[in-house]
Amino acid sequence: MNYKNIVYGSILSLLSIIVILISLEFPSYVVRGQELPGPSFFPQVISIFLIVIGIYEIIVGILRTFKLKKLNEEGLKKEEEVRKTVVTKKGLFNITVVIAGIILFVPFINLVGFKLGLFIFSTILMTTFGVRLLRALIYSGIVTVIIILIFEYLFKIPFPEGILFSF
Amino acid sequence: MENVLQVFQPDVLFPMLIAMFFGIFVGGIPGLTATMAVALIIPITYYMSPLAALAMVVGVTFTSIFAGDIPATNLRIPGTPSSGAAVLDGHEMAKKGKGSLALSLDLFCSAIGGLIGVLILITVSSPLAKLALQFTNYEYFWLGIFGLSMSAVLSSGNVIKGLSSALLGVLISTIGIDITTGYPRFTFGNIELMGGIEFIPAMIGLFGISEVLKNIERGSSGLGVPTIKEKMGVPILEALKIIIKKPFVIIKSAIIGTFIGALPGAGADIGAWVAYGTEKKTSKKSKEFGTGIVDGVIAPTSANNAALGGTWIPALVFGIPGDSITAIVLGAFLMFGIQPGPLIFEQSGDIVTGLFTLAIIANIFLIFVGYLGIRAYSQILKMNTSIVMAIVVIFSMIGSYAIRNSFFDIYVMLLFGVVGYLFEKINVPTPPMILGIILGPMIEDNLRVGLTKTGGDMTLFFTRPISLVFVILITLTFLGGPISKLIGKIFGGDENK
Repeated sequence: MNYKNIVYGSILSLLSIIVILISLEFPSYVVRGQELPGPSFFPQVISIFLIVIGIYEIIVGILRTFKLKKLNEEGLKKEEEVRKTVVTKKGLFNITVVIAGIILFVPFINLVGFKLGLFIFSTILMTTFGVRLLRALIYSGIVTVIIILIFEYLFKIPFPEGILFSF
Repeated sequence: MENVLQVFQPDVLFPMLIAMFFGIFVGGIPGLTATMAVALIIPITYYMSPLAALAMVVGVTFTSIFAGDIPATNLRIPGTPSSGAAVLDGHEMAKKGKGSLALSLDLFCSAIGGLIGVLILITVSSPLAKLALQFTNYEYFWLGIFGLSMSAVLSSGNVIKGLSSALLGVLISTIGIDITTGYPRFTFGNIELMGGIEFIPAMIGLFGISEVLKNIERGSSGLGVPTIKEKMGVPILEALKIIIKKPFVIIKSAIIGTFIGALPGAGADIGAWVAYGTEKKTSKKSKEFGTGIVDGVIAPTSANNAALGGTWIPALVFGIPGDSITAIVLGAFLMFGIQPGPLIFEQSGDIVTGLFTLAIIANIFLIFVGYLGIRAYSQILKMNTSIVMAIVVIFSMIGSYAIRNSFFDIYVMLLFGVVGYLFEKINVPTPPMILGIILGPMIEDNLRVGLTKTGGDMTLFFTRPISLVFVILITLTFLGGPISKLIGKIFGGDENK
């Protein structure tokens, strides 16, 4: 099955239907008795276009599936292509660390403070990506100092002091 | 002549140079915009003469717009929004080991484009400003649609997927308070969403984080080697040889950039995208765009700096800022007792002449300051990819937060990073989404105001002369390729030529 087009088309259509359903609850915009384009008008117009594109993608996906069955050789080529771009176990771990790290970064720096939090986060990222601990500590220290100098001291951007430590 | 010579004083040129180095520094950091650089420099100019203050503002603007292209090329993260289009071919060149050449081309094209923009500003500022003033809601609506259709053209391979990405961007732009009625749309009671999705974190996520995820997905392979395996230098002669062969690309892109810049509200970012799209559409090598072609570097980088000259046209002549940078500068003008408007040429002729001269000097200085900037920022590429990727994540996070001191924007960046990564997996181009987010409010606002004026009648959107020109251009954008192929077939020509 040519899942890529079918999944993408289905998501587009589903998302657009949800947008239309939500925007149906938006108030109408009436001025002196005349109904004018209100807050729901534009999102609905865009959603209709997206539904059309979504259906097109689904159809293209289905048609390609039949075509691929006929052209087995081409199907094998595609499989080879997919195999090349496959994510490794270590890669998946890396991606998880980055996403989880970014999600947890804000509560973490609120707890330990921006400076220490940034240093620890940077070290974890670098070691996850394969940098040796000592090197990671040195680079993280440099990056932390540079960021503090630029953003905190030069641009006066406020960062959390932290509940546990304050320096 | 006296007004020109007054610029060549140490107390004017020295602050300008300092401001230019500051511009390189700020523009090169993802998340910090050229607007921010100007805003930060303005308080320093309080105690200066108007000319010295202008020198700093002009210097910082041109260099920060250029500097935004450095991380765009090296790391695939646009330093400023106007560098978004420079990512496409610049980074591809860098991946092929031609990053130095891409940046050298970028440097010269920025300087030349900037100079062309200033020359247009000097010579045709009045007529262009008059044309820009004829733009009403109907024309601005089509200008936005034109930008979106360009983004579909920009998309590598599939126009429909590009269009869907652009429309998704437009849909995202509807999140937040509706300007006309004040009704909160798709906010689900979240206060942070009331202000809408900030496009800079979205852009950093789509370009920067998605790139990181792509680099680390294969585990340790390739992470231990330098990011780009090339000897970093600035091959000036090689770049100049290419530029000499491409004068029309530079001139055309600079004119497009200046014209777009002259339209109030458009600015350097849209100018760069439109110039890139136009070049791709009209080039004989259109299929090679996005793979690391020099024309794809020349067009956007010439246009974004040229647009700065354009933004000064409505600002000077009518007191209408062309973009957020000139909006800040106009405030500074008033602070110095200078009243922008049609009378500025008579009442403050010395300042206007000084401004023009300063802009020319800034573009010449840009070559030297930019050269040092490239050398300085390129040091980062000598590090291993694993370290660079970690630094990119950190700078992306802090840069996203710094826009409005909002931690929410870090999550916005992450979400768009994941979306960008998944989009790459299914061959959906991400640049159109950014353009959709940028142009969405402009399109919606002008469509609704236009429809309100006409009571729901669309006729005026098609019958006004400038609107009609845009409609034809948009049609040609989508159907130009098939039509030319058809003509080629009918007359028996080789369509591959």
